[in-house]
Amino acid sequence: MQTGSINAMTEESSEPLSQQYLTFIMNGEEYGVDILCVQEIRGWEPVTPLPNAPSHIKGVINLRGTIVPIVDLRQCFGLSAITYSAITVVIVLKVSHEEGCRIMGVVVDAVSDVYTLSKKEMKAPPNLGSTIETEFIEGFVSVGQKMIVLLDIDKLLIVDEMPELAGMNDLAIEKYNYDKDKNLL
Amino acid sequence: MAIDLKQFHQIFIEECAEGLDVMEASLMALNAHSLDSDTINAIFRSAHSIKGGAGTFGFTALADFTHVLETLLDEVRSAVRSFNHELIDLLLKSVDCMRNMLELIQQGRNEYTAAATDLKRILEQFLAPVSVVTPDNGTGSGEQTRSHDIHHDQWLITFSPHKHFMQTGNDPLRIVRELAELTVDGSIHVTLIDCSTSFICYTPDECYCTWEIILSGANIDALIIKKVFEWVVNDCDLSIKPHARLLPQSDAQPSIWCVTFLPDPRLFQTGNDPLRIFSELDRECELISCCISTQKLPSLHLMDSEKCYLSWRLCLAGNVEKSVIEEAFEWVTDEADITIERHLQTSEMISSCNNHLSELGTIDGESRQESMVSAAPQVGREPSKLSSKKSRLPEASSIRVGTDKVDSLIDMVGELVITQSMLGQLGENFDMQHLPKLIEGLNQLEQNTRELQESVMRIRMLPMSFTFSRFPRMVRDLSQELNKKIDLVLCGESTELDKTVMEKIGDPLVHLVRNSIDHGIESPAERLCSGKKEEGTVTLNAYHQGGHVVIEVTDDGRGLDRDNIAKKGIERGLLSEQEALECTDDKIFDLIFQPGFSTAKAVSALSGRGVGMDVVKRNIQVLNGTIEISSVKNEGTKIKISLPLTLAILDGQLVRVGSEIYVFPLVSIVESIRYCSDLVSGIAGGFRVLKLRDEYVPIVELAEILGGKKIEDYSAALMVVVDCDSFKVAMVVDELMAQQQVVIKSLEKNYKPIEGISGATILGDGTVALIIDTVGVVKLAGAEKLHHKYSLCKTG
Repeated sequence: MQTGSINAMTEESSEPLSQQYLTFIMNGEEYGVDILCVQEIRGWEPVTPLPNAPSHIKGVINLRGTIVPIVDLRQCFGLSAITYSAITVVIVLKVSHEEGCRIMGVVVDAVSDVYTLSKKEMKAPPNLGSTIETEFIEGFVSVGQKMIVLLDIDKLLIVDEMPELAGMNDLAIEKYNYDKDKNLL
Repeated sequence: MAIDLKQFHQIFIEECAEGLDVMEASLMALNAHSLDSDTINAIFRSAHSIKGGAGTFGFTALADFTHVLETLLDEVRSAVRSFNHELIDLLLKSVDCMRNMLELIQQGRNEYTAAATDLKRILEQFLAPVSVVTPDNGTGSGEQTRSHDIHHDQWLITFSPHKHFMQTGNDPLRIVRELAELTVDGSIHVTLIDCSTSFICYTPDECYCTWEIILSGANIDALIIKKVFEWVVNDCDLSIKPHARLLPQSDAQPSIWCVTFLPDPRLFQTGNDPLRIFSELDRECELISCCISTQKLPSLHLMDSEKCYLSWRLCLAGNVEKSVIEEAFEWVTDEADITIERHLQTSEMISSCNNHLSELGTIDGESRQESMVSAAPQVGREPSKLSSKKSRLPEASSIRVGTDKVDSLIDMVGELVITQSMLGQLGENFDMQHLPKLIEGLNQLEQNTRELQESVMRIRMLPMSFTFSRFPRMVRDLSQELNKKIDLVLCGESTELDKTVMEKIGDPLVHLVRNSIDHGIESPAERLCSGKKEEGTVTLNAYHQGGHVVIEVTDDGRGLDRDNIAKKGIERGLLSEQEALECTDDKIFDLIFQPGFSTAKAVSALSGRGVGMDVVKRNIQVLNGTIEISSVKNEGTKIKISLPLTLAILDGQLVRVGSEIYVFPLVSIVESIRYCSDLVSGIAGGFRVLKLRDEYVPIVELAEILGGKKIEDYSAALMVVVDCDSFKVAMVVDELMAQQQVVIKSLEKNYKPIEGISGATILGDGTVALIIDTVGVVKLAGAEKLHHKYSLCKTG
């Protein structure tokens, strides 16, 4: 994996429109977020739950004096919850919204890699019908045989109306079809 | 070495603002009582120090204006002039004017505002009949009725310094520069008329010249000119005479400009005022005629006072460039069609213009009035515009602190240093023998820290009177404007509040008071009809309650009209008719906090546009405060704002509920008792009450409300009785833990506000604990219970 990233970086570092993405694994799928939004990566630690919060908001932690809410992206995407362990990873992200920016943590299964990707390689999100919103998907990109879903966290992590993403399961099906097509090609 | 005076500008501006506040407050006091020499002296002193300061820093406009004011005040002080209502109004207006000028200074502009120019003229006129100094004003009393002539004065100054002039440290150039500054547009003509010396007996540090200076411009009087020469009168021959009116380069014919000005109807909305433009033009050149076209004027019932229906055709005479005229219209080029044409000057032209003028004389006057009337709403909005401008400027960031507060702070820091060195010594070679000493030292450290923190907080606290003091003036102006009789009652002015909170609460309060006066209080006739006193009362009250400061704005007016609000709400689709019938009053009244919601039948200059209450609410929410409204029809309205005392630190009681630790603000806790089932009894709707001595207190299951598991075993449970608004509530907790000070951290910053939680804090072990907002929790409990009941009804 390490070599892959280096390859990817050396190949495309000359691209002016390229951006670096941090990818993480969730339920076997790989997702990417803009690396400039990533503040730090931490191990899971116990949180203080918030009363009457939706289930995907796990609670808040103290990040060097700042209160940071932790979101379980699995539950957000309608995937089954897993028990957290010491190797569960929290990615602390800087999410910008109209009034400024928020610091939020997302719980994911594991951090995968850093890729340099150019806008050209990015495919627009497929129209998945009205069952799932694709607003928060920046695009799809394939690296080798893998497909990565690039997330637009500014649209994904809206606290007031965290999108109901149970339909993300369908995305997996879509992705399966996409992979199949690609293999056929 | 030159000292950079700029560094003192901010101090000057702050002092000036303070001086103006004193003047205003004193004038208001004079209003209520009779003439009191102390108060007059206070006003005079403030004016004097403002003048002095402005002069020192070279803000000539403000200094000159204040000088005239001071002269007037001096006459009042020495009882040459009687004091009357009219004069107070004039002086109050002057204070406003000076405030505006001060704002300009803050932006680095030393100039007159249009209002200041007018006002200064009025003040001078006011002074003229009694004053002994002004006869050499030159214009004479007969001409003063034509105000145009006064401010177009020209002065002929013959200035011939003595030989040793420069040896006394004076500089003729400086004097000429100073004279040039007197004129708004700097129209000064200096002619060297005599320079009688031969080179043989020429010494470079002697002065041999005589100058003739022609100074022209608005608002210059002999006094001001004399002041320029104040330091040199003994070292020169000086004559200051009013100059026969002649335009510079008088042999050249003044050109005539025809200006057509067709403003867009939106002109006033952009904050422009044709009158201002005209007066500006008037300053530059002579306004020969001004024709108004009223073609577009609709019939009266279609007229919108905010729109401009008039267009103007102006004839101007003066030796000015086109660009000067264009400059006057600079701000309105987007909102108006403007054509500026040059006319060849013929005598016929002038005479026809003059004829025109005499024909239109009356219309001219009327139209001016009309444009004033139509400009009125804009004037009403001006304060908000100013305040928004103000907010862009960096807020004055200094604070005045009593020396005693600073001294006590220094003492505490001294103690802290001693404690620190003691602990440091202990730590160097520590053994267990010294443990008691260490504990003692730590206790001392804790005490020091707490004291230090308290005094730092005290420095930031200001009494409420800082905010309240602006209201008497505002209420006075409003009541005059609206022809209502209003009695303003201020209570709890000594209540202290954090400076930041104080600064931010000012504008919302102004809005609420305006609303009360404009909508709440009825006209005197109406009030008498409904059997009330003729005078309406608006009360502002501030007091501490729990950890909050509560500010109440109460009026005894007509109250909110529930039906009307509900109707509007239904119209706007905010609630259904069914809901409107079932809702509590509070819920209906809450609708007025919706953006754009207004029940006012007519939009007035003050309020009724439906902007405002939502902004008020938002401002208060930003401060972590709450706003509540209660009203009884025909009896009045009460708006209650509750604000946190400070935004940073809280004395907290840690409690355990289930597995979580929460923090209660210590101030809200009345007492804590062990759960005793004998004292608890259930009532309808799932509520339980606690018999606390001779009163019944509702019980709130904190665990349940905060989404945890309900406590099964009450044997170990405790009840914390807290003060919530006006009644007590008992909250069930598992365990009482330590009492400690906690630093409030915002949850909103990275998340969103949570009902029942006012914030979070970080405990000693680094974990996060949530701070309970007792009022919110009780509301949550009530709401949930009601909801529960409602759903029961539905199924049953």
